[in-house]
Amino acid sequence: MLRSVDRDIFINCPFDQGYLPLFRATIFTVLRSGFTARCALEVDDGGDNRFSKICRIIAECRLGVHDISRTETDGEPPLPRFNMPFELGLFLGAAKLGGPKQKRKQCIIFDTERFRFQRYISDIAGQDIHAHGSDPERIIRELAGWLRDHSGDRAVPGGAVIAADYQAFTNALPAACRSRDLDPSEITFGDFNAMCVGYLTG
Amino acid sequence: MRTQSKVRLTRSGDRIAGTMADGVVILVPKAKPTNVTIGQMRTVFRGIKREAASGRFIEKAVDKPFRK
Repeated sequence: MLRSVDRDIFINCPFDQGYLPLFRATIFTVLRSGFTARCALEVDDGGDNRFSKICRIIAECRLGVHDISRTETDGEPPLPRFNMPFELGLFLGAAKLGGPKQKRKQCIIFDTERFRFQRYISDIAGQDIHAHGSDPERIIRELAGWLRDHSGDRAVPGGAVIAADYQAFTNALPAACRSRDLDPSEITFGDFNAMCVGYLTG
Repeated sequence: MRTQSKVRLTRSGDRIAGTMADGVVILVPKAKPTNVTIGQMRTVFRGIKREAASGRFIEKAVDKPFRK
């Protein structure tokens, strides 16, 4: 049995519309595997600046799921977003330079293709890097296997079972939103977590 | 008379939301919901699963972004 803190997983990924299917698949997989998903969206505390919030969550999580696939430029002038590589650096820095508890940190890193990172962030060579191909089912399968290894619990299912569960959940989600008079655009990170847990335990 | 339900905890102090048929313990998320509760969603999904099992159609999900 893992200790309390070991069940929290830091999710570091884009929060935009294009990434949403992968984000939701990641959250569902984390919860279905018996862990809890943590990220900067979980609290809305005006007194806590974003950097402090992220540092606190990273410090509390032994495991991390990072996606550095969002390298496209956006806006005018076109620039890439550096938040995900920055937070990955914080996580790896804590693991490398922190105390005994922080040194136990482990993470899985996703990109669209397995060796693409070598062209833009080659310093992370040697980390556990997986490809998801922008496919929710693939990220579920890759992540589920990794979580199963880190859970210490043989009851945790493999990716095929979780992918089937997730498909059934997404099919039921619109009806669930409608029953609560909730527009899907109003679903917060906390709401989605509650919906996943409600579905799994209902 | 209503009584408050007893919160179940793991040995390590995590709050348990339920246990899957395969034995995986599902934990209560740290992120607080704003528009729904786990209890409400549990009831809603039980109803949907019951209707699906009886052959009622469930439409395909459409992804919308999280509110930030």
